[in-house]
Amino acid sequence: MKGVSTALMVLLVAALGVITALGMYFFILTSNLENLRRSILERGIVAEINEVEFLKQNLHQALDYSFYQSKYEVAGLGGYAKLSDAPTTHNNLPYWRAYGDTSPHPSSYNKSLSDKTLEIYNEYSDSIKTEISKPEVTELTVERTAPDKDYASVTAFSDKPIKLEKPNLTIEETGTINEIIQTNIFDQFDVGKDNFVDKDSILEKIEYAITCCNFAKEGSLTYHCEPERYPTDEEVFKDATGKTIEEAEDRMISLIKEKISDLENELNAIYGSEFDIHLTFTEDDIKSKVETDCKTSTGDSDPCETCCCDKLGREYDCGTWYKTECEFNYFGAARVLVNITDKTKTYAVYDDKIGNTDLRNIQLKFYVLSGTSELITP
Amino acid sequence: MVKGQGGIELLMMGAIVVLIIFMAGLLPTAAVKYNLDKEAIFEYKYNKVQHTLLTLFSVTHDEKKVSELIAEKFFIDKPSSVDFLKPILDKQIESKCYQLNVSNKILLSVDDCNPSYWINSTIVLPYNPNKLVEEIKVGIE
Repeated sequence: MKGVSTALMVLLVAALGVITALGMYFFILTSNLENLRRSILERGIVAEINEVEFLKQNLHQALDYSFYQSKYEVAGLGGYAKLSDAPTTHNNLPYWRAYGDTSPHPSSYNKSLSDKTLEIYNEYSDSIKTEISKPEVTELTVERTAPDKDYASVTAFSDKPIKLEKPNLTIEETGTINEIIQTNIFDQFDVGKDNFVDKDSILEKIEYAITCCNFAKEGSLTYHCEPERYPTDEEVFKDATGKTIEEAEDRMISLIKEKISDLENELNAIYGSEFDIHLTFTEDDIKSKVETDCKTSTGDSDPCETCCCDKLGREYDCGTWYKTECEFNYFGAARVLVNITDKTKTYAVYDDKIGNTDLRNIQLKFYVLSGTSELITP
Repeated sequence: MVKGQGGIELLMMGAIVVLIIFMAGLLPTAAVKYNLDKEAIFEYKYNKVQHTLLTLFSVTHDEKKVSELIAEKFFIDKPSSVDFLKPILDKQIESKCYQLNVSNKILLSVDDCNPSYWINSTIVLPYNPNKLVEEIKVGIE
């Protein structure tokens, strides 16, 4: 009897021990489970925050790419967002100058950059699929951070925030995104404006080329014996300059080409560390003209001393002479395609003519039409 | 019945009951612990990879954002290397086995390893009207 009660006692104590141990075990396990549950929940929150961060990073990157593409397209169209915005064009590029008229120069190219960047940015925004509420950008600005700085401040404004709403969790951040992006685009436009709008470098070279020809400004020719007519303008010109008008015009054209090539070298010497400047033209883009303003007169030769006989010894009536006096004016005009390439950096941009995305330089392209006379129609 | 024999049988039965109770308590908790460990490891790795991916999106290399270099490497396939990412990933992931993919193209990987934990996100590509975003994935062992 005593043995049984001892065994029962041992059993009871053992059961109590096990229950206590299990109780402690469950208590510790429950506590740990709770901690782990909280930890997992917290990590879940961190993961959601990270998702918002991913979206933000992607929107920032999209803004960068939109600006790159906008630069490429707008610079490639001479500062216009669409070719139809340009008042005068040639070969699908705008003019920045048509003789004295500089109004075609896109003074508001910043707006073109902004408009194009906004258009592309919204394409990106639509492509990013997420359960997070995205901003809706309706206004975008591109501004130089300071007049002498090579940085653009690109800001996409949105009243709608970036918002993630989950049970027990709401993350909300401003939808307005700003990027400060290093760029030479402003300098690129400044180089073009300084040399082809504020100053007419092409006209200077044309004038210089005409001066360099050193052709006679006036001349006169008199026929005393033969033939019985007034000397023609062409004959007076040849007598004065030793060249036909056509030869003189060709000479002027080749000098204008030479001087434009000199201008290209001069510009590259100044801006060559950042930009590659190309001035190109076709044969039809350089024209020259010699204008003659002639007066004729006639009179009696008395006495006739030198012109009475021709080579055959025949005598002529020397009583009349025919004289033509001319003033010569020289004109030149050139249509030049200006291409200012930023050679410091390449950007991954899409070219719709080639149809692919590749690393490309930003090229600012526009036409300049200049001259001492309007020999070429814009 | 021999006196004392009943006590021993009772003791044995008690011991069996205690063992059953003990096992009944231990086995489910062990199972729970195993699953929790698995879950915790997954969470840990998921967060680590997610953090790594975020880091890649934030850092720059040669004045260019790494996300831009990755996208260019994938999209344009220029010889520009993304090998410079290896030390970053080595340090961030603390694993000898990882892989970085954009879409299904492997940009960076370690030989003879088959990652089991993957996280994917969206990477923005350089402008092309046909495709503006792509899936980026990082996997670790």
